[in-house]
Amino acid sequence: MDSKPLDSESTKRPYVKPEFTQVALRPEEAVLGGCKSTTSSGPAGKTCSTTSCSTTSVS
Amino acid sequence: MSVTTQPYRDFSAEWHERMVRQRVAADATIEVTRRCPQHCVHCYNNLPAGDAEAARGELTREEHCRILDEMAEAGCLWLLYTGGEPLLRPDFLDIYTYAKKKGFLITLFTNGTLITPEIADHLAQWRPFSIEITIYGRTRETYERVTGVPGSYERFMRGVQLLVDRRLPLKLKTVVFSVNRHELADMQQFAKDLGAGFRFDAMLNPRVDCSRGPLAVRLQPREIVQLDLNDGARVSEWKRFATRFCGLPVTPEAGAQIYSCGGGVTGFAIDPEGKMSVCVISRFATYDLRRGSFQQGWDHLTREVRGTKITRVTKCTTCGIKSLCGMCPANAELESGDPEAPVDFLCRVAHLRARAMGIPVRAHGDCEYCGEVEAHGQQAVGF
Repeated sequence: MDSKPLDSESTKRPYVKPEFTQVALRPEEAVLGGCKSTTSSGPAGKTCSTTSCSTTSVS
Repeated sequence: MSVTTQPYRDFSAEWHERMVRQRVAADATIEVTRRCPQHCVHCYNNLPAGDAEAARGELTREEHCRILDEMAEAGCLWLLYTGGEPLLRPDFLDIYTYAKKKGFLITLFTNGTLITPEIADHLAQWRPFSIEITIYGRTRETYERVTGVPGSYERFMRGVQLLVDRRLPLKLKTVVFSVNRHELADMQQFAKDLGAGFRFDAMLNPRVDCSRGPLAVRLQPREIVQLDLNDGARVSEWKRFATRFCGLPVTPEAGAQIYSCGGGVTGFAIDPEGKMSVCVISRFATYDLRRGSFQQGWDHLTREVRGTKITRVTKCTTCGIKSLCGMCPANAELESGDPEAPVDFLCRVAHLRARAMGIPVRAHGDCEYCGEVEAHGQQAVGF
């Protein structure tokens, strides 16, 4: 039977050990947020500050 | 296989930065109903629990699930369920559980009064990212003076306890106004004793139908800023926030657009009838999700709504303390019907806040409050 290996030495990619990142879901670290979800501007909620403003949900 | 743990704060910031760049619809707010069993004097959108017409207009469970499917497909991750009172809908937990199974990171806003042991058990099984309950007063008298419903304080306390018993991620918050401000410190202490987070806000706005009822109990600007000054952590946070955002030059492109907030950038809201908008208080140029797909709605917000240009220059256009102010097109629409008209109340609060905290205000057109603050100094504004 005539068969070829699927990967030749030249095309084989090196094995990379899989890495997983888990996120610790700590709501007290939520700092971003939308107007009435945090209900006000500034420190109360800042999703909107991603684009320069102020008011803003809680993510 | 290696596993690393990333703090939530870093994860959220990193992903939002990426999603802002790519204009991904990442942050959803869904009002499942506008109906509520309480009749709070300050509320911006509640309708009576028995409002049959409002109930008939609400999205069905099937419509909710279809929209959730499409939101997930579009890359949405953060989902806030609010109302009205979400738990008033008998099928809310079905919708909620469907969203959980889709993988959304869910925050639930509720007044807590409808929470039963069964609901609390369900939430413990299908754990939300966070649950936020509004506390209207620390005493029965004040709480029920706000809600207008005898027995609501008992039900609120029971709801809170059911969540605490199950170690659910609870935060308390309040809206401060003339009826309950004297109990702010006690409410804060109550949250602390429970081991729950706490925050407050005093910025009331007219109702979404533009009626001005809530303004009758709104605090005066100086009272609002005084609340900030009473809280050292809040002052520090405001200063930190101002250092980061105040005084940033306004680019011609940004200055030419009506919207300068995060609405329509990564954030959006869906009202009980399926109207999609940039945020829950904006009724400007909504998209009907009963007539089209979520993606079409998102395209509408990002292109049409966010692309809306200003028609005139106002004192807000080049204001350097916008970050201290709640002024936005939605707020302006509610106050005056004109999305570009400066809101006097918000302007006054922002200037007082800046003055009280030593945050410089650069000239920005014909602003009467810049002059007033400079001319009279802190004493004139009560500090």
